[in-house]
Order: sequence, then structure tokens, then C-alpha cells
Amino acid sequence: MTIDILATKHVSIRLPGKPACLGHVQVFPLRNVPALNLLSNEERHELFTISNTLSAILFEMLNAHGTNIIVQENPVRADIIARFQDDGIDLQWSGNRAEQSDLDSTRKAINDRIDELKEGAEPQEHEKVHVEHSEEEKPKDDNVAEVHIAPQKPRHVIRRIP
Amino acid sequence: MASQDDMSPEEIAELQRKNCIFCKISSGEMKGQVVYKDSMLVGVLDINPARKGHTLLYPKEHIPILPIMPKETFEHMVESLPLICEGIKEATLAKGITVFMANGAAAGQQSPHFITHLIPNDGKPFAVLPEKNVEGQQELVAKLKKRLGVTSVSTKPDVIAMFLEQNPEARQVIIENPSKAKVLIVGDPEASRLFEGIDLEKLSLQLRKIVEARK
Repeated sequence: MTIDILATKHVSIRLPGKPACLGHVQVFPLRNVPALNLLSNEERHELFTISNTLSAILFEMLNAHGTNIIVQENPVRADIIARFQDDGIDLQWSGNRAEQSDLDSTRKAINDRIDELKEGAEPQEHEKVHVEHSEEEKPKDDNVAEVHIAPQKPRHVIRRIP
Repeated sequence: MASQDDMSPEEIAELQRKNCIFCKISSGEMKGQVVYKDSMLVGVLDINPARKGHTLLYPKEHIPILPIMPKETFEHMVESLPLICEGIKEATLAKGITVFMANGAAAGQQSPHFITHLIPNDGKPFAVLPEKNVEGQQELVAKLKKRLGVTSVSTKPDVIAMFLEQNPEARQVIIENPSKAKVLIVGDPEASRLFEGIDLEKLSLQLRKIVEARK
């Protein structure tokens, strides 16, 4: 059973019913949003500051050897996990060495997009296909616009309206 | 040359700083695939990416772990994240991003320079955490509350009031059609947990009174 610890102005802190280990705490924004950029500055600050504080508290309180903070989207939430040597939790990925040409094109695509976002520009169609995806990585839904312009969905109740 | 066994912790830290490839990239001494740079932060592509667009965001200053990052740098990083994450997502056609931080080797930290991994994904969570039955959760709750200075648990009405304030559309459904709200809540495990034991008709009435009083 999930255990509520504290709700602040913008987030709630809970222990999950089925944690990854003793020392696994979750932080949820009270306003349910799919992406980090849909949180206000204040909400985002609270999410990260409280996650960082909890990480330090868990480290000290449980005499842990390390901590992870993992913030995911769809919807936004944070998992803070106290880690111990050989604790059997495998969060590592097996990255393969990227081709230089791939890195070059990806860097350019991200650089350009960040510059445009700074200027408040919308993505151009031709710019959305800078990066070649392998079949495995290819998004299933080609409707890219949906990801970026979907209206912010309020939490729980409204989401379920048919 | 002295081995690290003969060095003080300060000397080891200084040696790590001098040899740090991330410091070298931010100073321009080494080449990196820099996707973002400002007065405090640098973002470079991981050459062994978990996914295409996997970016390593780090402070220019050599900081080994997050808890000792200066407040100003931390706040700047949090402010900059949406721009960088959206840039990565849009450029790589990703539907979501995982922000992964590791403090300490046991947590998977592989560099003496603190790094935030920004890993784009296709909408599914990148990190699937194991789910276990763990002893000692109640004791942990008590300790955490003590450390966080929680003298009394936030009451359910407090949490619901905050929820309704943050979710005006949900509030409106409860006001206008509590029966419909009930059906919708039953279909959502998280909402069911939050509203467990709450009489929605009464809540609807109370909310209507508040709305009337505000007019």
C-alpha cells in the first residue's frame, strides 16, 4: 500500500506500495502533467529541490553508498532510491559506441532546435527529421505534433472523460 | 610520481579535477559534441548513448556529486532543463525524457564530475524499477517524517483541497456532476485512493457553497 508522507504546496511525497528497495521514495507534482516543461518554474523547483533533499536524507539515514534521482515524464514524477553496493538493482543501460556521423547530425539537430526554442520558434517540418532512427528506436506514432502541442491534461478525473 | 594510495583525499580530488574530461570539454581543451552551453552548464552527447540524443548535462565547475552543488548552479540547472529537454525531444522525435542522476559509484556514477543524463524515450519509461515487498517501510516513514519536520500528517481534506486547487477542471466536474465524477474516479486507481471514503455529493455541495460565497 502506498504511504503518504507529506504534501507541500506543489508536490506530494510517498513511499510506493512495491518499492525497488527500502529507501525508495517518490515525489509527484500535485498537478499532473505529461512533460517537465508544462510545470511552472516554482513547481519544477519544488520537485527537484525536494528530490535532492530526500536523496541526501536517505543517504545519511540509511548509511547508503549512493543515491539515484530519476525523473520521468508521461506523467512527470521522481523516484529517489538509496543504493548499496551489490544491491541487485540494475539501472544501467548498455550503450553502444555511436557513429561519428550520427553524433554530428544529432548534435546539429539538437543545437538548432534549442536555438530556435530560445527564440520562441515552432519546429519546422523538415527539421523534425534530422535524426535517422533505427527501426527499434523509431517512434510508433508519426504524429509528432501531438507530442508537442497536446493541451495540458488535468489530473485523474478529466483524463477519463470518454 | 606518487600513487593515489599515498595521496590525501584533497590531493586525489585535485588530481581527478585536473584529469577530468568534462572539465576539459567545457574549457575547450578537449573536443565534445556540445549541444548546449551557457555560463554555468554544458550539455554534450554521450558517445555511448542509451538512445539517440542521450545528453550529459553538467556544471562547468568541477562538482563531484549533486548534494554539494552550489544552490545557484542547481537552480540554474532546474530552470534550464525544460529548454534542453524539449530541444532534445523535438530534434530526436522522442515522446518523453528521463532525467537520471547518480550520486556515488554504487548508484552507477561513472565519472568524478557530477552529470545529469537526459535520455529521450518513445513514451515508455526508460527506467523500469523492480517492485518488491520490503520490510521496514513504516519505520522509514516515521524517520522521514521526523527528518522532514512533519509534526502532523497532512490530513486527507488538506490533500484533496490542494488537489482541487491544482486541478480546476476536475473540481468543476465534481461541482457540476458528482455522479459522473464518482464513475470517473472509480476508473482511476490513484484517484480512487485519494477520494476513498469521501462523499462526493457532500463535497460537491460544499464546493458549490464556496463558489457561491465567492461571487
